[in-house]
Amino acid sequence: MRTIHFADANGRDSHVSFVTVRTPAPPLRVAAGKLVTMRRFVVAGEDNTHDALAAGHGGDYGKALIEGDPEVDLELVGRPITTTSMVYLDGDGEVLRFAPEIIEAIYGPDGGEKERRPPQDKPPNIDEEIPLRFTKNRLKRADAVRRFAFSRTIQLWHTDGLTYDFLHGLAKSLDEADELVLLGGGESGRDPIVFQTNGLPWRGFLEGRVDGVKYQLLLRLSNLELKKAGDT
Amino acid sequence: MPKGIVVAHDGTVSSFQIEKVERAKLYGARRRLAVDQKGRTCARAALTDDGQVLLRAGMTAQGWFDSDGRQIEQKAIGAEDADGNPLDLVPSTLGVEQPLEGPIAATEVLDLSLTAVYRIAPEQIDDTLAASLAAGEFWRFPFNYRPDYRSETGYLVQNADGIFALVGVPAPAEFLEPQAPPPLADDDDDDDDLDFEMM
Repeated sequence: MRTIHFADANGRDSHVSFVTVRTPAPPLRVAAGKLVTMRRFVVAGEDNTHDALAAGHGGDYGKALIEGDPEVDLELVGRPITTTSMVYLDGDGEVLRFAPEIIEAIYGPDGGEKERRPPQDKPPNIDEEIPLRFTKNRLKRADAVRRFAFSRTIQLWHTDGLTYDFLHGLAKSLDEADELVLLGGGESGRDPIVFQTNGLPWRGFLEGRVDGVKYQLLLRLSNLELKKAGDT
Repeated sequence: MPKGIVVAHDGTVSSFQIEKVERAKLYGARRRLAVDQKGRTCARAALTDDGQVLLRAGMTAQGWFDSDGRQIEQKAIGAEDADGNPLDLVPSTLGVEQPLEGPIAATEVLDLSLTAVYRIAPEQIDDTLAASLAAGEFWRFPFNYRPDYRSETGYLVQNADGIFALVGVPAPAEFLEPQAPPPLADDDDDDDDLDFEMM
């Protein structure tokens, strides 16, 4: 069970459990009353790809396809793919026999590469000594919907009576104010939320709802603003 | 012109062209690349567990298989719900008039499990809808980009940058009681895009 360490506006902090709010599972796929599943399989051998056929028969290899079946490797085609190991191919398409250098490429909004640099590891910050903290940024629910695309939701979950009181109280105050509050991480208390090493940085807004003794305390996560391209 | 969103409320039709909003087009992106000794970007391939076959790009595909390992043609595949009831294929809604409902509470929009965001340009828009969106209200309509056995839901939202359609599947969280059992174990997906100071 994963935990998150966060503190409210008064500096009261707690480590609480959380789960991702899941999208309902898609419908089951069936054929003739039997369940079917999607699997990967081999459709061509190394000598049957477009590049290999073009190299062997010339760019216009249609005639070769009519006269024979150079695109089919009967030994391989249809073979299901189960466990595989990932390998790297060098610039000549040969298997790399040693570990490659890993670099980080930065691309601009136009898709063009802007920079290459050594990779910088980004540690998680959700369950560290310094808690995620309330910032002064508060938004009405409707304003948040109009500004951000929330693509992931984390539900905070109490583990005992004390954490129930803490989380229910926060949910109630946020619900009554009809507001979401932005949580920030790190020493500055303003860093985006990172769930795992080198994971995507998220802006997390806490939303609360109560129904009597029942509550929801939801961390709405966004990495996308509702804006037109070219405005950043 | 490609088909877009067409919605109707009280008999008045509004239509919009759609453009997908993508994070990389707003903020750029970061990728980790493997490079060889000459600085050339390495491609990835897969080696089968018996070490016999090197699977390069273009050598694999995906298909539907039954429990006996037989491949099934796409046209023979249907779907059923969790109770075993057959489901009908829901056609694409693009270019097809859909009922518009609203105004909708912000809490309902927040409960959407988002699959896509579109910035949409009005071709024709009902004055009442235009005024409502400008006033900050939200509207709901059925949306399916392509035919599927599950229908998605779209919400119209407007801000200073234009009108947007938020599309996804409603996924409200459960309310927790004081004696709620502990949550089930959670699996999280990793991702490796870069944030460009979006705030």
